[in-house]
Amino acid sequence: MSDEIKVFIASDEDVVTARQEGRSLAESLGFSKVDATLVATAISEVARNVVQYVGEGEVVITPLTPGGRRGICIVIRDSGPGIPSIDLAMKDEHPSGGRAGLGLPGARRLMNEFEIESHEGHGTTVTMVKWQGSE
Amino acid sequence: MTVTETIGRFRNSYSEAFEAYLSHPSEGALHAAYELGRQAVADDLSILDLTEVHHTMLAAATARPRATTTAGVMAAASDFLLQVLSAYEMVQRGFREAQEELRSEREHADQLRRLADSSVAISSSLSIRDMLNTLTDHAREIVGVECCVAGIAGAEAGGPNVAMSRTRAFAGCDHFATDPRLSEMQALAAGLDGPARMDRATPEEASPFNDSALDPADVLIAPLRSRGHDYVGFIVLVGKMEGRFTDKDESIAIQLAQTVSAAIDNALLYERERRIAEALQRGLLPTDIPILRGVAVAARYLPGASGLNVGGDWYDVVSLPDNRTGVAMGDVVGRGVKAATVMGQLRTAFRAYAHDGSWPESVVGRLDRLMSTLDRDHFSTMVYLVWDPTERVAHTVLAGHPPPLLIDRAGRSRFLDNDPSVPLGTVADFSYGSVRTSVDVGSTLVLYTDGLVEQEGDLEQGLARLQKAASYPSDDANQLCDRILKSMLPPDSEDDVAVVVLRFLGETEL
Repeated sequence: MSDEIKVFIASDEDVVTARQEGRSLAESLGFSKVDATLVATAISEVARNVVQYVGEGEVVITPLTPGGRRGICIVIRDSGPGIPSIDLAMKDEHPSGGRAGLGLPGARRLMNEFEIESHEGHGTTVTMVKWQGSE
Repeated sequence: MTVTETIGRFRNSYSEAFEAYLSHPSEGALHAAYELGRQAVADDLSILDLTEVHHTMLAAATARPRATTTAGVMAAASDFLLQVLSAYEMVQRGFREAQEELRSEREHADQLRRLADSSVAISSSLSIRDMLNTLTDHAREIVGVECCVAGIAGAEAGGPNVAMSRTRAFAGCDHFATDPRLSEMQALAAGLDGPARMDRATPEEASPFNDSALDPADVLIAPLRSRGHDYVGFIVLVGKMEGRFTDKDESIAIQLAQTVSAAIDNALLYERERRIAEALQRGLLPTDIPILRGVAVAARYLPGASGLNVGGDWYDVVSLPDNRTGVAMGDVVGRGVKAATVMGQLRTAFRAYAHDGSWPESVVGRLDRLMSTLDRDHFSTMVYLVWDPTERVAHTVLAGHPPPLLIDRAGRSRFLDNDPSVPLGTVADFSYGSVRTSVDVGSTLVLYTDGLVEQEGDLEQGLARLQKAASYPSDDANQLCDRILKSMLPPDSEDDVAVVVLRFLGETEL
């Protein structure tokens, strides 16, 4: 897709770039300041895991405009060892969250749609969507 | 680290990151704000501490001379705070989600408990009508719907095998209980394997929803199937009160359908046996009572209303040599077809022995010996009374039966007491004795089975109530019979009851 934005992430600076791209696109799609902040937060929350646990990966940000709705799709993928148990990783007690309510499940709650796919040895892909005007 | 130390450290980090953002508003500084928020959450810092820290920093920042306007500082501070608080937002949403899960789990546990209660209530229903009423009431309450209709296969509209429970205001499914919609509903349910929401089913036959204002998505139907998977009926739920029907509602419908299907299976079997027993019993009671000299007779037999207690109550009135009259009444203990069969044998034997002209105690003695050879599982109580109009006396023999009540022409009454006795077929070679009672013109005798006096469980009280109900002067045996039944029995009495009233007439009335 021509209007997709790709950000390679291997450091905190790269995560900041991904946040910046996500926030700008959200704002240009008419997202409120609060919602744009939540989009940036979700990117940080997932991307920091990639940098911290895998080392590198990429963030792909795409605008969605089906039938007059406006949304933002964020795909964050890495080619690390993969997550052995997604169910466990999505639980609030998982150590990647650092604290109940943060981490992957925290990111899920900030977005409208959230999918995670992981195969051992073949990395992990998180796909998140947030729609404008939705909580 | 103490709380104060934690806050102190947080204050320093906050001051640094905040000042950096105010000097150079950048995404990088916001990322730092987000990390600060995460740290605050991880350190269990309260949102009040956070607010206090932010305001102290903001006050200091506005007091300091700088290039940007105060309004600019305020706007930047707001962006910064928003980013810090987004970590708290994540936690808050997690908390809300957990609350919701807890609520839903509690609701589910509550539903399971109510399902278990329903199973018990359905299984202990006394008739199919009861069962369907219980089913529809419970299903409506558990799932939370406006209306529930249930019927068994072949049920006729308005008949006892269709039941509906609905909120007062909701009339949207009344037509499901009446034809032609009822038969269409049966046809539709018979074609289903399990519960179905009607927006998902594509019925090819005549749909019960034709020209109905109902939204098919708001209708859930489940077939009731027997152990052999035969169609035995349907249940339909209409008008979910909150939201739409869910998969959970479908599993509740399956549970209820299974419980009620098994119960219907049993009830149908039982009902069949009950009908046979009742027909048998009615066939064995005398169809008409002989016209007798000096005595007017009225007799009634009422099977139990719930149909569960068709028993072996019987009575007979025979005309004997020398103008004498024999009146017998018995109660075979035991229920159903078997008891009715034993009763038939007993009554036939009674006729044969009575017509021999034997003394009443000898008739009862022979029946006792017969009973002990007939069947070890059943025994029978009995009263046999012979009225001799020449001497104006009654000879009464009791075999474990409640004593007849004698009412004189003034309305005074007493029970014909007897020596202690035992039911037929219980004690080998028991010697039954008779009691001789003088009976005046205008007196009345009441014979009855225990169903009449044991309605409230207490025999003594029942006998007292009978005495009260019968103790009034009456000229008409039929009238007295009806009066006694009416005042002694509740409308849906479960036990069966037989009553015979004998009114002794004067010579002029013969």
